[in-house]
Amino acid sequence: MSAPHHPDRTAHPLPRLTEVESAPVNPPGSYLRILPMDPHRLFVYWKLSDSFTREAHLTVGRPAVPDRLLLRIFQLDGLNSGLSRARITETVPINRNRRETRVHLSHPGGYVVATLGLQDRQGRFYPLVRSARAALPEAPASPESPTPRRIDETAVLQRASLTGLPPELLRLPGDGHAIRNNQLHPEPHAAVIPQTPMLDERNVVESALNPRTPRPGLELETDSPQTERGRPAFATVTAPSSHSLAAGSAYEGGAPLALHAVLVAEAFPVRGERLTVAGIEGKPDRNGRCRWTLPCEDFNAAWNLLKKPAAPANGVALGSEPRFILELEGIVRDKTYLARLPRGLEVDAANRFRAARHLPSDHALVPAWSLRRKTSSAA
Amino acid sequence: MKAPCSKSPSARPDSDRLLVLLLHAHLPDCRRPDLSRSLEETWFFQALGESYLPLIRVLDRLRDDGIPVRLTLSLSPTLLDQLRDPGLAQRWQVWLSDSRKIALHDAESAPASLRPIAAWHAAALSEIDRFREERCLGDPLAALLEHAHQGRIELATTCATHAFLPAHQGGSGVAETQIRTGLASFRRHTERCPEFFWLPECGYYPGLEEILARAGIRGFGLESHGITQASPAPAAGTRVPVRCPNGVMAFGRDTEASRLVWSAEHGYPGHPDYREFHRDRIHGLPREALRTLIGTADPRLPSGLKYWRITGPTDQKDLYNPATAETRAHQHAADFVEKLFPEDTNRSGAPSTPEICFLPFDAELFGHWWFEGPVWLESLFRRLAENSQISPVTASQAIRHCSAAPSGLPAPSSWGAGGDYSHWINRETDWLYPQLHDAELRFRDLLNRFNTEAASHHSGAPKTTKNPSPDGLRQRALLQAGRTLLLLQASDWPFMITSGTVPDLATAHLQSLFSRLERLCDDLEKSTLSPDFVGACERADASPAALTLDCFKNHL
Repeated sequence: MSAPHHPDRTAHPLPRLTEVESAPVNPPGSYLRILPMDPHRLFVYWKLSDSFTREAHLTVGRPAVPDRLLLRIFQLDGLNSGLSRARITETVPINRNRRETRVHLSHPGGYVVATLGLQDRQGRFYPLVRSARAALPEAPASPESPTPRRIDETAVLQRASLTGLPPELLRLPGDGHAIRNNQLHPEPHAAVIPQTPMLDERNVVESALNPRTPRPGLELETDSPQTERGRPAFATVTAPSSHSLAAGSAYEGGAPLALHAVLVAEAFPVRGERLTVAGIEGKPDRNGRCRWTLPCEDFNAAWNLLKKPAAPANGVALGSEPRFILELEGIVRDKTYLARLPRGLEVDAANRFRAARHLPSDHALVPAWSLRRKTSSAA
Repeated sequence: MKAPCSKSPSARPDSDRLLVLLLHAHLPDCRRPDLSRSLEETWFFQALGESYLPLIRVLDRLRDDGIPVRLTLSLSPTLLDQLRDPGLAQRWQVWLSDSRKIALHDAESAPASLRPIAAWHAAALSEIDRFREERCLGDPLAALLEHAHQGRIELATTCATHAFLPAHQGGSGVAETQIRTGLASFRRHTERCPEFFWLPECGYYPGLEEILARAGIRGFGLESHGITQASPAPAAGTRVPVRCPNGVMAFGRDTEASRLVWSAEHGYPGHPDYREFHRDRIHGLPREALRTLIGTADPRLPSGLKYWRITGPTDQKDLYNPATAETRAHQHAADFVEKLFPEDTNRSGAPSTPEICFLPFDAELFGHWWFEGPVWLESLFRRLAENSQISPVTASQAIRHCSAAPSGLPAPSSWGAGGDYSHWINRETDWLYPQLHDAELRFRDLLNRFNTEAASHHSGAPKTTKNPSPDGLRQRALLQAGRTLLLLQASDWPFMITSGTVPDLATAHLQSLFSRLERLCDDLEKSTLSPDFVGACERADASPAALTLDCFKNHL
């Protein structure tokens, strides 16, 4: 039996305000929960009932992106501080296929609360459901992790490329500089259309994990496009660099690895879709999630992959694909290697590191040279 | 008749340096009555024979010698249920008998170099068996209660199934249900009300102290940075507790003193003279020999027979020498007392409060993981008896002696790797939580639906007899669904997945729990309950035995 077209709107009127306190905590059949993992990361999961979502669409009208929700994270000053004083710190686009995600916070610690909602074509946000507040754990104070996490420009790019974003996201979190003043990416908006055919991020993952060139121990990834299966791809070439890290599976004389890292890709395929990463077909678990955990043989390539700018795919190529989360994490077992980690990669008190990026379904990794070329022409 | 809630003696300490030594004894519900041999049950067998019974023996000896002991022992509800399970006790006898057969066989037939240490193990197994039967009369918990009544130890407890509470923050009621059910289980077994509560994995988030206070708890323990990064941070670090805004006292683990024991590189248990934990004799025996001795060679479950000493960081292991190891344990106890309270401790923040060294350990460290741990413990208390500078006190005594502790709100923390929550909530384990939350909501709906019956139903231990009444069966099924839900919340299984110890077993265990819970809920919804299935679930998932449906009311 099909659902009624005009549900009773008076039962659960949707809030039209953007304030966090206007969102219901547990609307019928729906919820949003946040589980802090560490000072920087949240595991977020939710359930939206069909009737509730249908009603939401009736209220909002045609959303800006029909198959997308927005997850917003707010930080609070204290355990008992009012929600009206909550500061929005993250906005993460969510594919409707998903029921969970991980969020990497720009600012660690404190208390957080989240909302999940829709955005209309005028950019207004309609929160559908709100989580309870949660306390982020604190790591022990340590000389290795004295500074807050740096701003990930690629994440900013990713956010800014959304159509009709709320105004707060047009600014870099924390420093107040408008994103248009970002010297690294002067025009990060949709105008930056890659000049090359779109890359399939799965191929990029594969190329990062399986470097074509034998490595003598020192490597750097360059952005030279090479043809791979008829498409451009990143290549890993040998370069005389002293900044490379030895990461691999080889033990030397029984000594522990100096550094151990894995690259993880996750995606929620739509029903019936088969996804392959690094030659391995993903098998959805009970939550519908595919995950690939891959030993990181080439740390630099994986790191560069995470740091590469993403740009909108202009509605082609990847438009129908689910979103990927790429995560690089590991542990530095030999402290002498700490100084050789790439800039921007933080290490906690236990010498663990993590880096991540979210790739929306309509975004793709693009070669940096393409962006540079666009930048120079714009200049 | 239940005794009134007892208070620990508040003997005035002899010095202003107080040692609060807390052992937390816990095992998940690892009973497998459906199997004659299972890996999970050997966890209990080893802990009982190597840690819990030796601890009672240490307490006995100290009592006999007139040595004052003040020790806090936290007993988890799942462990309490298992300590009192007669079926598990019978299977322990079988396991012990098998191990003894192997040891006796080695004492006669193994290479000559192994025979003395094999004979030593055979004698030790016989002795611990006799101790359980003759001294404890088959009930180790009764022996512990005896020491508790005499003030030597103070008993505390923890959550019903050892749930990692930060994974349930946010008002779902799980934390309150876990805490209250844990206390009910503890009261059922001990007829006592604890003042101190062990937060599983030291998992804390602000607001938890409110739930603890409502349950009558006056103190709890934290990892060090829960105190040193409290708001405001106490100037004396963990050397004084922090009084939460609602008056509940939070103690922070003393990092330096803990490190003397826990450090993987320099901790006492890693000394080359101590018994090697990881090399079990059973892995060196031919299959045929095992079949002859114990009737089966599959699976090769731990026997507890470990003939070698740590020796060094290679596979080359020398034979274990019990006398040498015991001497080393005494030396380490002396070293520990010497280093317990460094002279340069900054106590400017709370000069009127005694200096506290709060030291929580897993009870299973002493004996199971660190075989010489009980000797070390006994030696420690003997040395403290001769030391006028340091007074051992129980947790509730420490609460009373630190009434002038500074106020503050502890920091969210755990004692997992990194001090945060990621050892339990991470990429490998996060699949658990959405399923768990959906199951909680489904159970809540069922509970509300059958609320009328639930309100009038009070159940003790799970009933395994068939109940001819449909309502009775429904209540049993509802209660069993709640019990299964609590078991799914245990911190142990995600811990095992993350640690990589037995991740497949842990995952399979969780999935089988989910499967039983799903069937129970389905049958409840469709009114298709089978007495056989409900009974099977009650036998498979029997803890917490003290659970009643009242435990869930107003909490989910």
